[in-house]
Amino acid sequence: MFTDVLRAASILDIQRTRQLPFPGTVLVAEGDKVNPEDVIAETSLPKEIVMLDIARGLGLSQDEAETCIVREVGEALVEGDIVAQCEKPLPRLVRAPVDGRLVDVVRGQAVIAAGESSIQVSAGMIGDIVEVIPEYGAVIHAHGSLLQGVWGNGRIGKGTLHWVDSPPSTSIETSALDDLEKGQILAGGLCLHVSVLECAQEKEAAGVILNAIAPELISSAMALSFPVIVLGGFGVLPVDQRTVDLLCSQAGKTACVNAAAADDVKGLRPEVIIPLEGKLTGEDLGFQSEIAAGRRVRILSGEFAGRVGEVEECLEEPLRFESGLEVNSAAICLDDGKSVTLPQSNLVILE
Amino acid sequence: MTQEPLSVLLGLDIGRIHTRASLFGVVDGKYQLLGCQTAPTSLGPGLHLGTGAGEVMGALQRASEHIIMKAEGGLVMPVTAVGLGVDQVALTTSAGPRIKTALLGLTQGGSLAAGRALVNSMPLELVASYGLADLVDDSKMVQSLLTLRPELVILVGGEDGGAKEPLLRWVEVLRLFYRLLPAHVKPPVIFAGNAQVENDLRRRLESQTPLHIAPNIMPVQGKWDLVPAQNLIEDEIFRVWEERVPGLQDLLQLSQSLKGSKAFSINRSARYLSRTVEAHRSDSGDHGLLIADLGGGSTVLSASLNGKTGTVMTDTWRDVSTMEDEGFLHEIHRWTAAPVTVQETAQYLGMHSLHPSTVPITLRELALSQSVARFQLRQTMQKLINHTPWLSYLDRGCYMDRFEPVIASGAALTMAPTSGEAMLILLDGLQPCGITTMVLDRHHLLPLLAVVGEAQPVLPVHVMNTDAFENLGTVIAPISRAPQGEMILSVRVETEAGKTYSVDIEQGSLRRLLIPMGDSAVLEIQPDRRTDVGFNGRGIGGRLKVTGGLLGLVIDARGRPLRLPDEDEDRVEQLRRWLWILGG
Repeated sequence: MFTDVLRAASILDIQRTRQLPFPGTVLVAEGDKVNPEDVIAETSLPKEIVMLDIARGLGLSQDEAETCIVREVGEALVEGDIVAQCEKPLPRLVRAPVDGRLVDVVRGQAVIAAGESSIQVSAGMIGDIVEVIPEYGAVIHAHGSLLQGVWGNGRIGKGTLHWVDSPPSTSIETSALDDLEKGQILAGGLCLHVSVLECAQEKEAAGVILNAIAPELISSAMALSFPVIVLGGFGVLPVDQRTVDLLCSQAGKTACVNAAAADDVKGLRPEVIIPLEGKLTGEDLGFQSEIAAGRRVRILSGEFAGRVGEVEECLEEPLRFESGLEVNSAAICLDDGKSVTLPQSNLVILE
Repeated sequence: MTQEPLSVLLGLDIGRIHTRASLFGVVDGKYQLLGCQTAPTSLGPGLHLGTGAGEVMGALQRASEHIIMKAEGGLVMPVTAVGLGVDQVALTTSAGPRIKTALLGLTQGGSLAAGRALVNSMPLELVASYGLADLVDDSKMVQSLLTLRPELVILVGGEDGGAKEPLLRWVEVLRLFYRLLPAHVKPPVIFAGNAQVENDLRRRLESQTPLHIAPNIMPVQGKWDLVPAQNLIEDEIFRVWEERVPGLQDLLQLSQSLKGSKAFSINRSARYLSRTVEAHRSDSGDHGLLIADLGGGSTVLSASLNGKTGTVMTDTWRDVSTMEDEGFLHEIHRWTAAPVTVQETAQYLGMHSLHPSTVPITLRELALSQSVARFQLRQTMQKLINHTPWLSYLDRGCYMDRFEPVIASGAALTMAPTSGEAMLILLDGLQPCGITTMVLDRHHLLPLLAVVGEAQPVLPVHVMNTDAFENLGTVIAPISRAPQGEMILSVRVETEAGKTYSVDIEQGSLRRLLIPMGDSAVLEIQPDRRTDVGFNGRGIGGRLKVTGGLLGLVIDARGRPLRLPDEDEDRVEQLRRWLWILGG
């Protein structure tokens, strides 16, 4: 059975494609080095539409007014340019009120598209441009640690990793943030207090990485100006020791947090990339992969929700659970050595 | 469309979470379901829908012992001389994303109401709905459309033969909007308004963007006909999904024209089946049909009555940040038949929103998942009432029309450990009034049957009469003004074996009377003068012949809308008592 893959890997080759929704200008070239906030490509739409009433300005009917327009549709205009003029019954002018482009003439009115509303796509990671997609964007490559999460508040940022320890199943307290400095990324286990998020904001943190967060804090996290990423889920969930080790070992290093909202169709997952040199330690597992013996998995529900272990075997026959449901299941050896059997659909691969 | 007899048909139903494959073949001269299997949908980058489809087809081949696949992969098509393979593939899907849609019309209560019903019946996301009253400033409207960047524009309004000018104002706004958009992102326009505007529309917009013209959805005031526009939208949805959902295009090559989005296929099923139900009805009065589909990604309800059909689709709630503000959390907590805290409920909902394919393994999770199913049904029923003007209803979303049968599907129902649990989810979620029969579409076949019926009209008729559709039981849900605990109704049951017994029903009670599965029984129902059981008014009784379903006869006299005790302990006790009565 196939299931979602979430990466928690030491060193990987990571490639991400960033593209505009429609053609524009690509601002990077192959070989360029980029930071998360760097704009890869941009395009624009008019910021304002101005309807210039020529008929009223010249005191003519709509049809007459249209014959007095002295500019072509598509022409660029500078504020003050003459757009229409007539000699009879009296000499009159209508000038452009703003800089822009004449886009249409409708019912005696000149339509001017003014200003530009920019649409940009950012790198979202530190890396090298390995391919330019003309007019749309680029492919970025990085070498380093990759941690994928399940929820993000939609923001992007980078900073120095700052790990905050807390006992298992206990929330981080604001007192643990005393050493957090401006521009750092707070990484920790569980957050049950809004004051922790507020403290990180006050201290001008560059981001927050959490294993779990209380569901009632989601709207507060959405309102923050820096990225917040949740790796494990909502509620009181245990942390995966390997993930803790990975984050602890990289404390002080630069991490890029792209807290994009997860989207199965587009293939988006919120993620943390820590650029590192070194030998590859993981293979490409794709967006989904098959649950099989030896795979490391996280449990998504029930008594063991959030715990991590290794698949011992996928059972051939469906198993009946307390709920009365009979489903395809797998035997898992948890990290503490305990063996449990759970539905395959309640697992994600975490490697 | 072929009408040749097809010996074996393969149906693929691809949802956001699960892919189902169903095999239909001829046994003793009639089409039957030969097998049905489910596997996870392979949806995402680097994945191909065909992977999940291949997995489920392999499982179907093994389970049915009918060879449908070649050893090297691919389907054996058509059926060979020795009977291997399939003749035709039909495909329904809800795997694609909703398409961002702007609806432009004239009046809120007229064309826009019909337009919103159209949008809500399909996998579309309404990002804007503007009427003539919003069109004070053309430039602001163009700006607004530019900001929203819809992927589809639907223009409606005006009666056929009515004034053209109001709609022509929208045409000018659209012309300007399209002039400002880059070529690659010009959304197609579907026009379903005053037919007299068609020529102007073609002249002004056809050179700018793909333009599709359907008959007016409201040709005269108050009369709606959404189906032709739904057909055009369906084509547009598939065009977009083929681009965005990896692997869909390949699977559609197998099915060719036999395809449908889940919502529209259910709509087609409702229209088709209501005609069949009405044609075979022996008693008088208005009878319709209701279809409820509780999918992993979305819930669809479709009601059909007297030639009119209303369909709505709601997404399974995924936005965890809104659960407290919008009251979901407390409503779902209240309807959970287990002593869970609000916090536990929030954690369950949060995790379920992240991983909707998880299945409940503990009794608490089962109770929570069933509460979510009730909530989804209630929410979707409320939406159906809001968008279906002909539906009669009581306050707070209890419908009054006689829909018989109610056909339901979805994992929360088909995976419910007992039939009583499935029945109670439907009763609590839909809160029907009057007399109906609850039928469970155990293999999620209805959307497929609507599509397959295009090629083989007799197939749905045959399959609907097999045990693929389980009769859960007959429901009598009286509406009464009587206080709790007072007698409101007596029911006399005469079984096929000649046994007779009577029961008195109290207001506020839930009762189950045994009628053996498949046996017929005659019910003589006599309500008191305060009580309406669906025989055209209060105090009016009647006789009714029913066929025993899995739960026999259920009399739901709990009142409408349903009320729960305020105290947590009493509330859970009440929910469990109801479940116990239905054998859950």
